[in-house]
Amino acid sequence: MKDNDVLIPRFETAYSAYGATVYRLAMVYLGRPADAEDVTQEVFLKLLYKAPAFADGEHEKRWLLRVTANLCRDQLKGFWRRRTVALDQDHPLPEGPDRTLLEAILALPETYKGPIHLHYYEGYSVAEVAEILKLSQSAVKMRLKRGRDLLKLELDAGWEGSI
Amino acid sequence: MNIQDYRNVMDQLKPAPSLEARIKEQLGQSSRRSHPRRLAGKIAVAVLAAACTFMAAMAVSPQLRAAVLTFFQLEETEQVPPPASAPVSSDPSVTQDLIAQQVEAQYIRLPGLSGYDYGNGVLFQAQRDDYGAILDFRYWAAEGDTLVPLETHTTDFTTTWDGITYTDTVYWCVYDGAISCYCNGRAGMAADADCVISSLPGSTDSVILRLSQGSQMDYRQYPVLLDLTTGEVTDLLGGTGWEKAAPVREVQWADDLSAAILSNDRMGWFYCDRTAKTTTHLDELTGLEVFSAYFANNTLILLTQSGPEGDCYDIWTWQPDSGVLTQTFSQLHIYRERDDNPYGFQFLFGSALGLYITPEGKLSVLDLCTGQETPVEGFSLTQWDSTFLPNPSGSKILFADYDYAADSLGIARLGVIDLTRGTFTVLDREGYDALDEGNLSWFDEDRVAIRSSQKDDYTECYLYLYQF
Repeated sequence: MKDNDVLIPRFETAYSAYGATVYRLAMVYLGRPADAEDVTQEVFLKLLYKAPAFADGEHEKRWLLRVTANLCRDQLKGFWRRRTVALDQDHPLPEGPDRTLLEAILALPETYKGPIHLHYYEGYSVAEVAEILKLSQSAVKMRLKRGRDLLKLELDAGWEGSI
Repeated sequence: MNIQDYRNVMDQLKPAPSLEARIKEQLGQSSRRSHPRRLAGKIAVAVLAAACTFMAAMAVSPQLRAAVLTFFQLEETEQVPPPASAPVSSDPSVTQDLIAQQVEAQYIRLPGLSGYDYGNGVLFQAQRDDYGAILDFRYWAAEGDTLVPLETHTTDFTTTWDGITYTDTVYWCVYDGAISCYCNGRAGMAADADCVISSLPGSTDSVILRLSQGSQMDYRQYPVLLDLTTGEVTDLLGGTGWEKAAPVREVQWADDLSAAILSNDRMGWFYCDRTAKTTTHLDELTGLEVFSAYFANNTLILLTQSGPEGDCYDIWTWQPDSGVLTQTFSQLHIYRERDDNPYGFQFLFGSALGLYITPEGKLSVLDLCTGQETPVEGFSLTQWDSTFLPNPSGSKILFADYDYAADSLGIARLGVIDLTRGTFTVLDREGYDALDEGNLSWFDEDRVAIRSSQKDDYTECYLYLYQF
């Protein structure tokens, strides 16, 4: 077992850099703050105990995003998730237009959430999203298109999204 | 919504300030495999519920310890074939090997990442255009060192449920007396509507379509039967009173479709008798407070009941025809990984089997229908990080151990418990980390499948099959 004197500073550095990134992706997939926090916790425990050596911070971030997506998808497939009733009445956003937008995002089918978030929020290219989510580029393109259609997401002029 | 709107909303999502401290607290705990606060509880209960992680009170039935499973560690180590150094062909290809004179391996190379997958003992590929439309669909059987092309049939269907029209094309083939089938799974552009197709044991002309709507808490589904010859869709639950169980979250079928178990988050478990055209709550039928229910076979249902503290479970079988109720295990202690010295029972979902591990790591297979416990002699688990998966009929159990330093799954040991032969055979592997291993499951009744892709550029994927 690794010593806490090593683990805690390592955790603090990583959490400070990527904690919110991991949590946001988990929220997009799972929609409940408590579940997103659980996954965030699990992701960072994996980082500390099971992560490979990283070439740089970007490599580490992509690994974290991939693990987050996998854990979320596992949860969504899980028996418990399909049977559980709403535990969290606390919505992350107050009533208003942003809350409506968030609900539209959370209502997206699971397959579109990861590609949409990684491409349009995290700014990864189609090829990078494909690598992180272990999908083919054509599948990412398809999911971006369908997800965008469902969200009625409008591209800004000059947006350089690769589809 | 535009992209800036999306970003504005996302910027507002931040974890609770206390989360960082909670994770640090986890770091301070002794177990390397500590689990998050709620996740641990969920997993523990879920294991039990769904799949039923029951941990057996081992004192239950010592008289049933008749058979044993003999452990064999193969002396030869598999040298996992590395990625191809250069493109050879645009078509899939297969090579064969016999490892330790005992494990038949088929190494299938799949050029490109163009939609290869497998199911029901066949390999298939959906070739799509950039927008996801299927251009071509191909099936193969993996026989020896040959991939045998199979004839792909198509069936178009349209059906409506709860205001949504589902229209799609099913691609299917028949191999070895069973159907393999595939469809896109979408209902046009309806946001929360899906259609999942699954084959029926013994049928070569019909499949089940699981129509669903909503997501997460609003999720609900409804099953229909699709005749692949005519494209005709038949209602399966109409007239049975299934509405008592609505909104239905999951449907399990007897193989002959004569009955179904319907589950509902709020109300629990219902038994739907299609012949008698009745749907009745299982609590009412059995007198138990049913925690979860599964078909063991066409005539027997497996029931679990939670103990008062939630740390142990009773297991029962119930025969719908006669109403006979039999308890096969009582007070099964649930295996909880977060415990300091974990022991107990885990259910093997999809079968009527369970595993029991003692505090010393000794492993047994439990038959939940008969109450029989079969210990594995000569084998122990140092920690429960391994995977155990039953094959479709429940006659074999796949075992895998992982190398956590690997980038991907890192399957360092692969094995099969063969309940018919009474053996547990394990093969060590080397060279697995040259590939990005992403998936492990049964390919068919007898062959284990590991799917992987090339690292770095992901330009090629691989399907390695093993028969022990």
